[in-house]
Amino acid sequence: MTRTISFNLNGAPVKADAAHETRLVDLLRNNFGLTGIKEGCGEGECGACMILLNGFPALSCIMAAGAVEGQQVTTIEGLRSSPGFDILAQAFNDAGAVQCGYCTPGMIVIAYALLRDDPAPDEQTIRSAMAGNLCRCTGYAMIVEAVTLAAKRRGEAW
Amino acid sequence: MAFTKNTDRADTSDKCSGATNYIGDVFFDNMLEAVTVRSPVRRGIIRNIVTPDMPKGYLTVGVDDIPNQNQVSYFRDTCPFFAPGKVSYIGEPVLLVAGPDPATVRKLAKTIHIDCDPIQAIHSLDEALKGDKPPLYGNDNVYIDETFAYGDVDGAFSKAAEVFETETRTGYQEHMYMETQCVVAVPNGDRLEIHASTQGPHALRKVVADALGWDHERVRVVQYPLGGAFGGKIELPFFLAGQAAFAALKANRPVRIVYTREEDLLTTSKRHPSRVKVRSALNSEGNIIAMDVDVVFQAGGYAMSCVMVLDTGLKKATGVYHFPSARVRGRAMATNNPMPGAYRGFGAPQTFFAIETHMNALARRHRLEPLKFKSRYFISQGNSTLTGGKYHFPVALPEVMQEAVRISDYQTRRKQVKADGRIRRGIGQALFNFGAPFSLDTSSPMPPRYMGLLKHMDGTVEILSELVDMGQGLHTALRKIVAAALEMPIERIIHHDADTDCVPEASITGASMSVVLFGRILVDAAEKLKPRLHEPGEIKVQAQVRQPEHLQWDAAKGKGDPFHSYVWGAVIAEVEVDTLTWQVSTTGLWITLDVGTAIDRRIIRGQIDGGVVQGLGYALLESMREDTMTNSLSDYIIPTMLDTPAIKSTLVANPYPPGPYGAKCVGEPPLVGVAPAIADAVADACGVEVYRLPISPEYLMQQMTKSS
Ligand code: FES
Ligand code: FES
Repeated sequence: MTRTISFNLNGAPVKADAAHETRLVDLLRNNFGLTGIKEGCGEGECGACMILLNGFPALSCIMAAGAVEGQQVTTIEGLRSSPGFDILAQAFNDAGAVQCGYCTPGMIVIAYALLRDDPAPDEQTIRSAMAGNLCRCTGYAMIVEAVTLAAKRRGEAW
Repeated sequence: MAFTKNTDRADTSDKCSGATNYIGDVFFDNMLEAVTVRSPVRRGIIRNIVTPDMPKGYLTVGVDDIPNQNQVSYFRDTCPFFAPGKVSYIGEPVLLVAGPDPATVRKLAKTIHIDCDPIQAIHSLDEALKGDKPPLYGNDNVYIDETFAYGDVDGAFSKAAEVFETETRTGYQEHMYMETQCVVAVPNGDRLEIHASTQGPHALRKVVADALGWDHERVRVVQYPLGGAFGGKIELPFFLAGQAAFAALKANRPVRIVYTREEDLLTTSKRHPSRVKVRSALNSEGNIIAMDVDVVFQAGGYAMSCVMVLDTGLKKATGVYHFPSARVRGRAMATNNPMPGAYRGFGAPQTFFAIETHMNALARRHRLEPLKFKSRYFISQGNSTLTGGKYHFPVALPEVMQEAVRISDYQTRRKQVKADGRIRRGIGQALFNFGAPFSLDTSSPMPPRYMGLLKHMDGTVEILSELVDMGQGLHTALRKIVAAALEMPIERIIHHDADTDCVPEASITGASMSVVLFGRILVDAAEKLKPRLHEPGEIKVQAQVRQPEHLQWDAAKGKGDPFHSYVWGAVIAEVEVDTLTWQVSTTGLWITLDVGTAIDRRIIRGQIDGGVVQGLGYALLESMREDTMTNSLSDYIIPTMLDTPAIKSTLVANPYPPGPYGAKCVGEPPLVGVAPAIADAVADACGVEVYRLPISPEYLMQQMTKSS
């Protein structure tokens, strides 16, 4: 059984046919080629598949594709052209926050939402907000420093 | 030469924007998806495989589809791609189902029924040692049994005034790279391409070609960026690539295997569980006169690389100490469990936990300041190794220890009051060294291996090496070394992911050897290229891999210098223990390392932070049952941002002359000392010794109950 889903993807209205059991992560990766979204666990534990749903962080691996009917979905690809992304990417570079990079798009998506809502989060706030995003390479400190640095440099970006 | 500036990595911006294509992000035309059908039992003879009729376009692939040999040729012992008529662990691959629609493939795979006559399984290393079940390997379940020794150990024990014995145990540790295993095999004319997430492109090429019975040149391996590896993408890709190759040739279409997290957790390699008994003999003055270490690793249903992992761990088992006499024996046992394999630290995390825990417990028992006590036995330059070789270069152990003590304010913290309501505080330490790379026999010529440099028409220089950047920043470090040697700006030096059609065979990337050994060979190559840089056109130079001159290693006898160089390190850990829940939280971690010359401090810090946090997980959180019930990230807990304390790290400069500009290694060492330091801190807080990893609340409560 498939149905047609209409939603707003990275600022543009789109339509897609999806089977009932199709997960949002598969729809976005396979039908729209948005492979910046990664799958690390498929069970809502790692944050690699994070997207923004109506502006709020959501895990696309545990959402049915049909659940985004009429909603706004933003992926890492949709953030690329925003000034906030540039500041975050530069800060991740400067702080050495990227190793294998598999967790990175998810980290940037959640950091983007965090800095939009909190202009100057302290370390504990960053750690709590991002605790659902796992990274096996960095040990996290350099990611926390990157987000702190981005907050300092945020200017009018958000 | 001092490397004062941190270099921006070439891969960061694409990784941030999600533009980096890992192999799982690449779709090939007409590609089939393959799912592995696995053994439902631990041990048995396969009697029958019931397969439903396959819809058009769908197929199964099994033992009978292997053109040449059902054996991963990289390994000495039996290691089949598909179960050879019998199964030896739950999850062992029996066949593949492949087809165009992944959901249909998965459904079909579930309907396949594997009928087995069960055989009594060997569940643990204790059962394997006991030997009361039908043996799985040889007649005693022992994949390898070896001993290194010097001096009169038995004599020392017979005249000892005191004998002190400890037994430590550790469990599986899963790599938990964020990108699960994935390989695509693509037929191309009379050749086959393997597109992979692997730590060893040329090794993988050989394994696939041997399985097919082809000349190695007919297989091409294309390396993709790795989403983490930590040793976990050396062995497993051999199996996936072989299986995908058989399927691709049968279907004459590209075939992809991508593991779910559940499959990855249940069936891929992990750190070997261990039991280590350490006995020391002391004379009447309380000095150690002999050390006797007995190491047992639990290997799996097939040996895979346990021989190498155990061997390397054994050579490090006497720690940073030179005792008057010492003996280290090790065995790796066959059990009906998933196959452990290479994981950052390669045998050393288990043996360092054992020796440091023993030394710390012994100091406590004698009421001695532990660092002072341990420093009596410190290795110094010129001392012999366990294997009768020599520590050729300056040993920065005292400096490293003093520096760690200084940055952590260890002595002041030690004196602090331990109890504060229900919270107890403790501080602990561990010392370690890390020998790398391991030596190859020096009396016979090395197999010819090369590192190359290619100057392009536009003057940029490309590094021709198969060495893999799995996130650790290796390509940036190598580019930096070449830039220094050629006196060129680093932006003009390139290092692509490997393609076996374009780069020479060098080695798998692992065992912390890439910078210290191959970095040096790249300096050799740069010396050849430098005088010719002004010449027009393309210029390609190669330098042959050679071991440093000081090295003597007799592989047959196990005598000589086991490793080229040694990193020295010290970790200090501070913990709080909640005496109501027996939960341990780490409140501070300090680490000092001598990595020779630092090539890039930011990259080194990334390696230290990441390694330390994996060590923290090993010490406190990461535990995996052997009955395969741990099959998700909600059961297998790794540290999150909230579990990691501030980590303060410093470096002590002690250049290693044969290394590139004096550099040693940094990938594995940071993990090694963390667990014993945390265990020591918990022991300090609670007043009971800690002999088990992970230090779970249940274990700690047991120890406390026992002692009271
Ligand atoms: S893949 Fe969605 S949370 Fe891990
Ligand atoms: S950088 Fe590798 S998982 Fe975060």
